[in-house]
Amino acid sequence: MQVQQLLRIAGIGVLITVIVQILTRAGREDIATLTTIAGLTIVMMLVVTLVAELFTNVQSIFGLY
Amino acid sequence: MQDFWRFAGTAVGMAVIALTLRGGHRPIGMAVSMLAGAALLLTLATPLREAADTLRALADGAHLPQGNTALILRMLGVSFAAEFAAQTCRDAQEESLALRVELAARVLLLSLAAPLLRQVAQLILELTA
Repeated sequence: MQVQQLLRIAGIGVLITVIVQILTRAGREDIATLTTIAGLTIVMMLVVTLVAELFTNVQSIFGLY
Repeated sequence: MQDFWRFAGTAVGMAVIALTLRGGHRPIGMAVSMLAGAALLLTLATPLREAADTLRALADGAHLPQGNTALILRMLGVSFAAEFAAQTCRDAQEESLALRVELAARVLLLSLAAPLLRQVAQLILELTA
């Protein structure tokens, strides 16, 4: 089970939320938006890899080629 | 059995984390829940493969036509993938995208089942002739 990967993503999520909260409180909304986009890109890269792996697995199990 | 408890525990834990993140940051909470779903289903790969192999072996034992079993398994695979994609879209509150994925899956399933339907129609015609 990819628990380690899951925890990594959750950690990135928490970290980005904290950074964005701090930046928003400091009145730097523009940098906060950029941080959100950067974090989302990193997380999405991991998500897309895992979803692709899932679909490849389904294809090989059910003989979908 | 042990795996099941780990599976259920991870799902609940990830649900709590995703919910917490959704309060501050919807997109990242969404990505976390999507990733949790994909990772949890990936852990099912080995049992799923065993189940599919068992079905194949049973069908072979019953001397069913080889092509039909493969077709049924292929349709199961399409349904499985479509269900995953549609539920993920629904989680992101994209009901219309989910409906489109389901529609695409239905069309694909119909096209996969077309040869069988044609055979059934032919059989009926032969019987009634």
